[in-house]
Amino acid sequence: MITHHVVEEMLISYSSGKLDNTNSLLIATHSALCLKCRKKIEAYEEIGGQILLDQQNIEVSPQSLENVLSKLDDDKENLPNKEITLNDCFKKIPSPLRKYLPKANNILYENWKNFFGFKYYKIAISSSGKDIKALMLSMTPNQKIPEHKHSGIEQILVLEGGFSDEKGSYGPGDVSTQNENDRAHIPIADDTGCICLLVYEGNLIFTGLKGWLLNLLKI
Amino acid sequence: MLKVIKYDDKREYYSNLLEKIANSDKNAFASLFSEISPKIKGFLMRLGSTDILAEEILQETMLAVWKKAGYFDKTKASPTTWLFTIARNKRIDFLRKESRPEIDSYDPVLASDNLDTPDISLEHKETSEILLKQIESLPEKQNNLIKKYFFEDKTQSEISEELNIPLGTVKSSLRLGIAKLKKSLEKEDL
Repeated sequence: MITHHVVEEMLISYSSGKLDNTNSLLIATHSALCLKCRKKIEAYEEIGGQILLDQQNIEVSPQSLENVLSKLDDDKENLPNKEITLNDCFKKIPSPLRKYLPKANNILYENWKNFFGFKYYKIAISSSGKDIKALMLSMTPNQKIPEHKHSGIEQILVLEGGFSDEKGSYGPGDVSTQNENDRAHIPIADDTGCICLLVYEGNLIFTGLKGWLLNLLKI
Repeated sequence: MLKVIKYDDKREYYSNLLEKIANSDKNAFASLFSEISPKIKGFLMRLGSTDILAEEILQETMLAVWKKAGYFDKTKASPTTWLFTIARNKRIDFLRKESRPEIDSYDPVLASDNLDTPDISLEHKETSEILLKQIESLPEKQNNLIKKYFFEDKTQSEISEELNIPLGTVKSSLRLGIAKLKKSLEKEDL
């Protein structure tokens, strides 16, 4: 059961369309796994619907209707087939995230890189000029992410397995949120290891003994 | 009270039009266009689009309405909310040149309570109405700040300048407004 949700401001920003695409990736992926947050998004979108209804009318050029009418055809989008079959390795990865992963040969780890025993994959997604990164991270059982703090918001969404840090334990669907005011933390994977989506602003600032080296490498 | 009646009337009218559009009724499409497009244009311009850009995004939005009308499900969302989400996404496509990640309601990985019955729809409608009442009952300042910050895409500094309120007050009032909305949803077990 999901017990750690995303922060409310992120949900409202996602619903209104204000949120950048990188953070939207995490919110959409978490909400695909979390009915509670999905229902909240639907409720917040109703505010947008009400704002649209209350909007002052601004005259539209008659040409616009003509343009649109001339493009209407019977080429409607069909409702998708609900019987989509997924290869086993993608069965725990919701659609918003699946679209950004290499799917060649149906291997989850296709094109992932190794870094001090971790496997990671940098997701190519734009953040409207903001310095926000998204990466998939795979930790082996009981592996630790070296002690680090943050220069902005960091969100970690667990997809498989789990991890713990000073604030709590996180299982599939849970999100850990840290910001620049939080103390440095050391996430440790559970006995089963952990596959997660990490989205963070700025850089991770490694503070432990080998911190200087890790900071030089700038993942 | 008057507002709620107006809202329900329009909801029914737009829902009927969308159902007809799903069946390729061009007259229904033209009716919806004349009803809703001046509002969509107003919404886009309030968010900072120029007249020309607003017309362009509006045309893309209405074309998407034509193509996707079959997806509209009145038991899951009100028609104006559905139209809002299409205009929102088309605006993002234009400005960011990249679609934003969306939840796919047909994804087999999607968590479900397996209880998607009319009762759930009723529950959704009630939750949405409670949230709308809650935001309207917020003090004028918090209500206005939430709408400007989230739905008009303004920064806190821009709001502070526009409304002549200290930045610290903008931040604290926004925090308070968000906490109240969160509380009202959690009362509904969300």
